[in-house]
Amino acid sequence: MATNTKYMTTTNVPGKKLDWIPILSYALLFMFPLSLLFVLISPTDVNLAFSQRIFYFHLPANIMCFLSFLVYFIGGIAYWRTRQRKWDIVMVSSLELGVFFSFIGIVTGSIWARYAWNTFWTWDPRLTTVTIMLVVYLSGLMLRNATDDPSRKASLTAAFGVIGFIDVPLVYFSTRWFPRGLHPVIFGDNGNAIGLEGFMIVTMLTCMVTMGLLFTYFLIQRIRLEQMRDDVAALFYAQEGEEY
Amino acid sequence: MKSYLYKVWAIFSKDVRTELRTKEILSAMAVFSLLMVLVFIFALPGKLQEPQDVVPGLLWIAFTFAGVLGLNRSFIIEKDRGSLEGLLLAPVDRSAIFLAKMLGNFAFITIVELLTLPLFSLLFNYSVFNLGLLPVLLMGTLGFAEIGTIFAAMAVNTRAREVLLPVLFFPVMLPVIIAAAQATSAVLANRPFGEISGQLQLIGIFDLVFLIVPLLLFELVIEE
Repeated sequence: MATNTKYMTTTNVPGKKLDWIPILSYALLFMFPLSLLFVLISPTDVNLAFSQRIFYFHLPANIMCFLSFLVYFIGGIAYWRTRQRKWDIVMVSSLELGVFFSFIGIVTGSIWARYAWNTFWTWDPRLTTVTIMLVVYLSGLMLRNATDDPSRKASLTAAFGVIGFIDVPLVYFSTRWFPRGLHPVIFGDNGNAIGLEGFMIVTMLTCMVTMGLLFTYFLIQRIRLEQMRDDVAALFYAQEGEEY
Repeated sequence: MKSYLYKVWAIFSKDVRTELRTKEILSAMAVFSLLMVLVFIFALPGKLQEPQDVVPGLLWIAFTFAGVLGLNRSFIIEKDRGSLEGLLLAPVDRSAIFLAKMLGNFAFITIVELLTLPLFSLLFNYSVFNLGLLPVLLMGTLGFAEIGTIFAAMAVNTRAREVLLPVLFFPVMLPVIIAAAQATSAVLANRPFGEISGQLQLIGIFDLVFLIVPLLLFELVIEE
């Protein structure tokens, strides 16, 4: 723990272990332009024309959002079993990232739906599920911010992560009976009906890797930010202790 | 096992006795749901001609909101009078406290629901008395009580506790609300019972999962 090592910081210790941040940064610098290029040169969809290209961001963002909430769930279970601060850091980082990526997923999907379905919004089961999931995890963030005591903050976040994650499949099953609203879902389950072929698959995989790298980069940076906050707090208390 | 159930019973009967003496939770919930029915009628006067469209949904809106009111009180009362510490110091497993509190909330919300049903029938002039409604009502309320009790225990130790409970509670409860409202409208339209088996199954799974998970998690949530 940072509080035990008086002036030692847990971050930026040289030679401690491999620093992933520069590696990830260079990989992103290479992958991001590459995936943009692939998105532009990949064949245009017959029915959807240019609007289909937003899928290359939409699908990876949604997958990263599910991945974040999975990491949050695992962090929650681990915190519950061990009560270690490091799992709390993992939980808060992945919770924030999950909300961020699900927001991207909903916005890109909504823009696409405007062209494909002629509406920004329809109560399709998947859309409904993702929306409810976003609301659930937003309320989890609120719960965390409304708590003062650090250890209580961690345990409430952990409990909420476990309950929220288990709730998501139940939400999905319940939306089967949801009335479809005025606008028919033209493509059945979105995504599946649009076949990806040849170079489209390559583009999709490239974008998936880029988004995965971005997710990892954000997660590591967010974890380090939280560790630095711990270090600052530890230094602050150590200094105060000397003055008295 | 027998002594565990006895402990649960002891805490449950303590809650019931406190409630019978103060009538704090029940009266607040009952008056609130009466007012909700009135607000619905004033807000949707045109719908009085075709109540079958709105009553199933409105019933569950009223139950959810009234339920949150009661769930909030169940832990705030303990916290404000300092009796929560006493309860935690009692030589019982933490899960027994959850189980007892959950049963208490379940009983109170069910009583209020049974009081609200005749009000709905009377004021909307549309009978909601149907034996098929009973399983939907009881199972849905059990889900409310389970999730509501653990979230109330979580929210009571935060800053904005009264506001936070509905914010946490509604999104997680949505599967039960969707399924229960669908099942209620099918029952009230006198459609065959087999049609709502899917909804009842979902609520049943929800009840079972969220009986076990909070029982395990409760010690994490309530620790001092």
